[in-house]
Amino acid sequence: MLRHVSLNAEAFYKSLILLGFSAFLFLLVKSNNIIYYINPRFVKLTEAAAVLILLMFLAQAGSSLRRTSGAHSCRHYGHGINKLTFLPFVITLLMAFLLPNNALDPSMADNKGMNLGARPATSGQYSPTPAVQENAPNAQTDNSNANNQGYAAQAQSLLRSKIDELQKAGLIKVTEDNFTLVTNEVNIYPEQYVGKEITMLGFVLKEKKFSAEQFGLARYVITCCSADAMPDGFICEYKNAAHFKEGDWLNIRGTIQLGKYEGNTVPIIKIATFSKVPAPQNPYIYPVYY
Amino acid sequence: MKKNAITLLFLLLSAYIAWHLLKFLPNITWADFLNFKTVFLSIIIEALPFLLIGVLVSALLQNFFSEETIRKFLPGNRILNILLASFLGIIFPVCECGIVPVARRLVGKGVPLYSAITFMLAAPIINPVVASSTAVAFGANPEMVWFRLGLAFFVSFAAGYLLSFWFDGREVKWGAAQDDFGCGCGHAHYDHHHHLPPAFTAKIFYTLHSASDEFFDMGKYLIIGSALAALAQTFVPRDIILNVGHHSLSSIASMMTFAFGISVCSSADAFIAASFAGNFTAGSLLAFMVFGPMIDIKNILMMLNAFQARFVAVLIIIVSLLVAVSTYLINFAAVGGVK
Repeated sequence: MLRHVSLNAEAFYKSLILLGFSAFLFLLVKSNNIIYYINPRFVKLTEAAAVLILLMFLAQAGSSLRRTSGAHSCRHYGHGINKLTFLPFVITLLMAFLLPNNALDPSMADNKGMNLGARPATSGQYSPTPAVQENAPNAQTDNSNANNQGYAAQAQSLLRSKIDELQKAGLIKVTEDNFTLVTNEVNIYPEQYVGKEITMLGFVLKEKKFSAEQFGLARYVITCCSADAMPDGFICEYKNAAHFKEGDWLNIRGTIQLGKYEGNTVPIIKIATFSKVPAPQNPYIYPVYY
Repeated sequence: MKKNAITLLFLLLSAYIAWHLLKFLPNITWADFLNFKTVFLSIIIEALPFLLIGVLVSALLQNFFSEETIRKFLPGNRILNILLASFLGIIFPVCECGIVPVARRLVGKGVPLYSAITFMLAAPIINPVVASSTAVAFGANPEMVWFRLGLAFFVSFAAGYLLSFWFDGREVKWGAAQDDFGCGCGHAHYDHHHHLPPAFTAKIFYTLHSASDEFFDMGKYLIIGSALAALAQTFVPRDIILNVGHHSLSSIASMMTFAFGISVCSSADAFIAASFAGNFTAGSLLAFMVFGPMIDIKNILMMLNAFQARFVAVLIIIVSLLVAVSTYLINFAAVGGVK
């Protein structure tokens, strides 16, 4: 009879764990803390998962209460359930419920390697301008003939108008919506943006290769989940840069200039004014594809 | 026995990693630990829906499709069979987090092992979602999309074809997901005792039940794999493996190691690859985007649970060699071309 009890116990443990996971996902979506973990465009999937796990919980709970018949003994020959197999799930749930939800700390950017400085057109996630045109003297006018590979025509024109807007503006305001557009455009075609003013919010990043007056101003860009977070932003220059600590959040205003970093020509923001601010509610950037 | 051996292997691996981490211990801060936890949970939260799709598809196959139905769809010819398997992802996009249980279930339903493996390797890459995300990531260099898809097709087709000579399908392990399902032995309820086919609602119940059993069977490996990937992300500086970008062969090797270690979803990895485009050879970026979705920490653990260790080892060797050699040739042929 022991084995029947153990079958029930197994289903019981499983149903408890399933309930825990379902509750965790529901609470995460409800409290909106889910934005610390995944790109919001996947939240619908998480909700669906929570519902499905709840259904699986009902199925397991149903069988843990069910009276076991003799036929059930066919699988659990002798050895009971190995409780160790539940350990990973239990640890995960403990971490999920006991530890605070928080965004990635800027200190991890060191390990990630910052997406700073020169980037070739190959990595132009948003700039559809072909690489050949990068060095063309009349790149600016050529931009309008940008290829449309990978983009629908309509999205293409939207992107086009966003970039045109950027190039006409005297002051570029970097927001959460245009963050990746600006960092890509300006890092790929810095000479087109020299002299423009720029305002931006980000956290301070220090790298050994920076000079004493330089620091990185970056934010994490999350495509799917925070495992693929890439720090993205600009190199900045300020005479008292040594006073900034890594991870400080700054609101800056400055001018785009050309500089050298690791032998490449890169845009560098000369800081005019700045203010220290607390970390924003949602520190991540979720890229938008135009 | 085997199960214990694998558990022991995990313990040894974890002990090894822990031992290395001990050296950093004085430097590990509470913030590092919270970062680890954020990355760890984010991989799990992101992968859960896809693992659930995988186990649900597997359970639906188990409870709603008979072997005869599936056999009717299969071409008799081995090559056609593998061809079909490599393009199945286009209509059936399952990401790599959920593909292993589906592959195992397909074998259980009479699909040849080599086709199931080809499907397992190809579907996470050759599908519309991944193709479009790669196109966006490499917006200025769209031929990378075709190189990626073509290479994924070549590797999965060749691996499946080679495996078809060496393995015959007995390399599948069932673990908790025994052929008999339902409440531990669902089949017994209707096949042997009652001769009536089960009611539709009962089938739904069995499906949910087998899905949750397989969820536990595979989920623990997803969790362990995510933990290892999160450890690697939090504590191993990328420079360690990524200081060799311009060297043709070593850039490929390091990008493959990198892909293996970070275990990022195949629809996001193109963006990471693109961020290295300036400093790495085109071949190594392709190796990253083809090898990663096929073999990484978390799905290797799930594979070890579903297939014999010897089979998994041969599979890894074949895929690694195919990817390394073909991307090396691409580097060689496309000097100044793709890059």
